[in-house]
Amino acid sequence: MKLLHSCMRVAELLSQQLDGPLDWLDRLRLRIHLSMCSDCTQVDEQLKELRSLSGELFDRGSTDDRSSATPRP
Amino acid sequence: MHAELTAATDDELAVLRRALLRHARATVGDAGLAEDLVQDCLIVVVQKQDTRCGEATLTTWAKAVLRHKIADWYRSPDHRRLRQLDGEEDLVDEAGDALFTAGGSYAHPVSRWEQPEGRMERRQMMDTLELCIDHLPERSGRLFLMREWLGFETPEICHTLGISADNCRTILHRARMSLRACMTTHWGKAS
Repeated sequence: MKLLHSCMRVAELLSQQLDGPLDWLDRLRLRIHLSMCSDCTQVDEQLKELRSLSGELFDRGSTDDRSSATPRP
Repeated sequence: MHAELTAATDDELAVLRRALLRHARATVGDAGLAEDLVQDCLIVVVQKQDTRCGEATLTTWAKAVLRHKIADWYRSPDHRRLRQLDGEEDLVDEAGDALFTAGGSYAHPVSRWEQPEGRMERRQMMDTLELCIDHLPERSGRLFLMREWLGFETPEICHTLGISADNCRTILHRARMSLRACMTTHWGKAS
């Protein structure tokens, strides 16, 4: 079993975790990798910033409450 | 804004229509269909603008109406008449490959982004993102918008577009990494 992921694999996991929870082993590997790698920490922040900016851009608000954008009758 | 609390003028509607068309085209990938959906949306906007929630600007409200129209359309059987996406674009991602070394590390150090100061700069940052989204390949752009704008979960996107979960994940990941690279180039690195 490979304990450490490459940055390329970590980037995939960082994207995946925006779409759903990762399994415990990947979460563990991710935490270990991020604690040692400033490049991936930066990419993690930027992917999260993209999500937040997209939310604002599409006027959906920055929270998960998607009903806030429901049109009024 | 006062103008947005009163009835929309023809000029405002024309500007609004262009903004809505831009989002609709990128999300459904078909110009004719995008026109139809935006038309339906504008009918609602014009007919019900007096009853809409006071604090929502016209654009915010119209985008929300359009978002629901597009989501409903994707969830209806009609969406099947749209051409399928698979095979339309090659999955080879040269830009993505160049980002990493053969060992899977970043080929160049990842730069921090300039932090926007105040609402104006934040708005400029969003404008940059919008341009970057416009420049995504068609398929990546559609998946990204379905996920981030329509709010579809990934299994629903796979099912709706008839693509595999792996493919869906890969396309979304590449879309995000392309946007990240685009923002680094066009928004700016922190000094």
